[in-house]
Amino acid sequence: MNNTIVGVATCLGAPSGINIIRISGEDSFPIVKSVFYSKATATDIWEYNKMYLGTVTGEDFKERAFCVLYKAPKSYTGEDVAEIHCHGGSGVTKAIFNLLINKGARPSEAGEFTKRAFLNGKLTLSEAEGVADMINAETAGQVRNAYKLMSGELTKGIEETELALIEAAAMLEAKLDYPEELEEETKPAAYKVLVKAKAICDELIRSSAGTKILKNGADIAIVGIPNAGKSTLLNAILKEDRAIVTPIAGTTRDVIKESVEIKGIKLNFLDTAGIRDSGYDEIEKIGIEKSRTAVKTADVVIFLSDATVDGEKEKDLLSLLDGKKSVIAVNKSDIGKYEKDGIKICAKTGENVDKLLEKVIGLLDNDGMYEKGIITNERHIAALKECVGLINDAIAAYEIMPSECIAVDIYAASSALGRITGKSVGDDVIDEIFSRFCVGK
Amino acid sequence: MIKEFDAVVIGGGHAGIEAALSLARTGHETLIVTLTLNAIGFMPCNPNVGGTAKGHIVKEIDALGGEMGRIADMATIQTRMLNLGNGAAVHSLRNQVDKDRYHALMKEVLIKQDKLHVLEGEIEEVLFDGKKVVGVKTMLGDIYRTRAVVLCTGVYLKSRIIIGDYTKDSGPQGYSRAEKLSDCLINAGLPVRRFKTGTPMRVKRQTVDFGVMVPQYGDENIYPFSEFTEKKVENDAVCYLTYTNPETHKIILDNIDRSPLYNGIITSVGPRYCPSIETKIVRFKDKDRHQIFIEPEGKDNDEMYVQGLSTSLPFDVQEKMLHSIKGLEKAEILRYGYAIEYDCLNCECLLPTLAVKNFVGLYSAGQINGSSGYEEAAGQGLIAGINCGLFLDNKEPFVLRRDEAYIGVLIDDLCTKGTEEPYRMMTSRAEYRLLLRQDNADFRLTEKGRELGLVDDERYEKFLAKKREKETLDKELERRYSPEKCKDAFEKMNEPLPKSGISAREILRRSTLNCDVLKEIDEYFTTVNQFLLSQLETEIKYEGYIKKQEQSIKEMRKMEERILGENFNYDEVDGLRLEARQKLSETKPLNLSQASRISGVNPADIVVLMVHLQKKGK
Repeated sequence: MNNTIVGVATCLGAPSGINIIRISGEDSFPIVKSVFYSKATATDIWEYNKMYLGTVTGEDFKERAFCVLYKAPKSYTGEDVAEIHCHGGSGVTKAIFNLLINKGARPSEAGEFTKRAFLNGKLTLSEAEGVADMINAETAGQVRNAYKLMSGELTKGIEETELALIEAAAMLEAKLDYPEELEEETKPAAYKVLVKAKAICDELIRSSAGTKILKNGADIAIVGIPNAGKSTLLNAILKEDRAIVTPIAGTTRDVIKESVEIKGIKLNFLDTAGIRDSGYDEIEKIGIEKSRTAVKTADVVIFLSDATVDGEKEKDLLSLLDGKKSVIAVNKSDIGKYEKDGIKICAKTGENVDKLLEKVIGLLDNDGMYEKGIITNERHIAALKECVGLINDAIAAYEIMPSECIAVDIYAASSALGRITGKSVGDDVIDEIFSRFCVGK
Repeated sequence: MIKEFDAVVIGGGHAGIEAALSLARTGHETLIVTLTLNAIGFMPCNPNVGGTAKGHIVKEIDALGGEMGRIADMATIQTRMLNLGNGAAVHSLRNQVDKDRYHALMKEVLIKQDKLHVLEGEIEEVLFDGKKVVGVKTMLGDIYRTRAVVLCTGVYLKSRIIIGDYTKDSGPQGYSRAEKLSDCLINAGLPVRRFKTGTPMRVKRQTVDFGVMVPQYGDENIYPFSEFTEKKVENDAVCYLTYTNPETHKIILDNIDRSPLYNGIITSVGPRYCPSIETKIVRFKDKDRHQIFIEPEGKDNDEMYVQGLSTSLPFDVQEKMLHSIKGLEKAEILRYGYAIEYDCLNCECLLPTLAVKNFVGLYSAGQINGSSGYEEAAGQGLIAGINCGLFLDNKEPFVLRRDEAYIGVLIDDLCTKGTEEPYRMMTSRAEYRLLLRQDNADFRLTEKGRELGLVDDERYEKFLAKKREKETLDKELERRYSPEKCKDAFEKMNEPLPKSGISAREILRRSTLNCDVLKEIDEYFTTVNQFLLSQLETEIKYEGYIKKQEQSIKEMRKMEERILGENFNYDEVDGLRLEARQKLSETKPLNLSQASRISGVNPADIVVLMVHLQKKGK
């Protein structure tokens, strides 16, 4: 099991100007240093307990942030701890969080930081009192509720994986514990069961792609050259009396501006406006940079084309759409002279905005998220990924390592699933051995 | 006669022996009382010591300074290492043992042991002052004062033998049972329940046609159980394999209504681990044959044990089914198979020290705790004896963790999870199986045995020398070889050549290579201790897997240090759920680690406990 954990130390749900992402464990320094760049002071000469300004760089984003390292045992958990202080707003925070997971950390279980702090003798009295309530609210409740909230399809998938792992373990164990009595070779059959478990698990993860959308809403970026009418369009969407309108909490970056619920899906509009007052050259430069960021994190992009402007001028921006789900809307088509492909709308009057939104939702719907159900919990996805990784390890080593080693990965895979279901499998395997095989003297 | 002892051990079976010896060897005047001296170290069922996981336990007992392994080696008539097809962690030594010799040797060890006093008799009562042990009373009315008692009564408490519709109040094989002690325990408030087990028939050697069976010989390479054993272990006995057939199964099914297991005579719980033949036939109808091993009960013993035919069917059905089996057509039964029911404790009343909760000076080990098997009993006996001694000396208790020993897993399972059937050890119960190998039992436990005063100087010196030798050898694994040097050996194995040379350690790490390849490349390794070389290879090969478990082991160790103990008041803890509060109050875990393994206690409850402990600590 992965030793280095990451969690958001501030509250993601509530508005805050700054979020703190905390990472604890043996690999926390190397992980953070692999994503954080500080121009002023190279990370390898950093001092502990000192805050450095720099950039977190992910595959598709760059973010200014502060970073501080606490060397064990002088840290919250008593382990090596790093903290990244980034701008508030769930989009940014999540991007960094996910980046750290890709680099080898694992999302912390509820209460896990506290647990480590306790085990290393670091918990202070006031913290102890403070966490008591948190724990009651979060740990068990969270695990179970989160599990309950999953759709039947999903719990079925997880249970099937769990059963397959138990079955595979029992097959191997029966032969290990009863080498003489059990005449049949169980290892080949167990392999098939493992492959089945992997397939189910892979499918579950695949379906988790839509996760974010159901839980946090779909991020829709509206891009276009300055003055194409992006803000007007946004206003038109918001003005429509069709949905609950809620400002997204904790955004200080003006990236996620407003959200609207349409047909049960929350749409977060990433506004790339708000740059109109700068000088024009500057505008274009920043505008493209900002749009680029917005486009990359968005689930669907609305490209707002301006019918009064030559298509050549929009070419650069348009190229951002490659590989993204996008809709092109052509604004000002009543007054513009340029003929362009796309849904002709009038942002000012709201004409055809309905049509545009339908198209946007249509694109999301294609994911089939309603039929399948979606894993909505980051921890669940991480647990599933760990599970499938371990099954892969078992499969890869299957021919070259003895059964007792393969079993280590199988048990670890089940215990990763156990972090979703709250169950542990030990005795199930023994029950399975005796119900399946006639062994024992 | 002396009427006062530091401790009294009730029962001279495998648990009682280890308990009594460890007490006496740590300087306690100890009395061991057994229903008959003829049954000291008696093996009422299979004539083996060891087997999967059980062999590990014997090795651990030996490393801690116990007796079972040493005597088993001396009484062995055939030896096999099971599971050689898999890795070292599941290699398990299983020896055929001469039962009479085992008994005779054990009896001699007990009688000759300094500070140990052996007495034939029945203890009818443990005497208490409140919850404190003060003495025991024999059937003669004689009273022995003592501060501590270890209950090792095996299957003898109010036992009953069942063969078909015949039942008899008796211990195994005609030995008398203990009539009164379980009433005394019930009156004292202990949770007494009833378990069941069984054994197959024994047949006369001369009437078995071995010619039609498959002979099973001992291994070529012999590894003793005990580090003490220097004399060659005997290995000449032969076992034989035959099979049941559809006719056998028909006989059993036709008479199933006469089986006490199925007609309601037996209601107690039997082990899945040792199913009777009727259970196997009923539960696995599709199987057209079951293995039957014919094993000698001793070297010069004409009794043959029919492994696989454990049964409580009526005598005529036993005869018929036996005679339907190839090679046993004319077998003459010397003893019929039988089921036996007995009183035992619900093991959830035990602490991991094997002390009975809420009592002072009362310990319990072996089948009375709901386990099955000689080895499981002996392992518990040793731990109960050790803790009883530590209690008498006012010292901290001794508990083995789950990552330290199978004995630790065994006892933790019993007192943390409880068991609903006679508990048998299996390697799959040990989550840290790769660490708990039989080849490293001495490395895991000798030093602990030494601290406890159970490992003598000679033995300890021997161990230290082995340890130094291993450290030296480990350093030699840094030797490096050029690609040219490896070429021949690697090519033979179809192994890609390392471009910039390779160390001995790296060679051993490759899953496709082994010690033999290394020896081919570097002759030095043919001159070293081969056992240690292959042990190092095992450790290197397992390294990646062990690393995967490190975090959970580390966490367990830390949680182990957070003591809760018998007197912890769970009602004081804010925020504990009701179920957890109840479970914790019942189980009284020694520490947080044990608490975390109780069913019905979830991770949140554990964090709540942590917080509480922290507050209390301030």
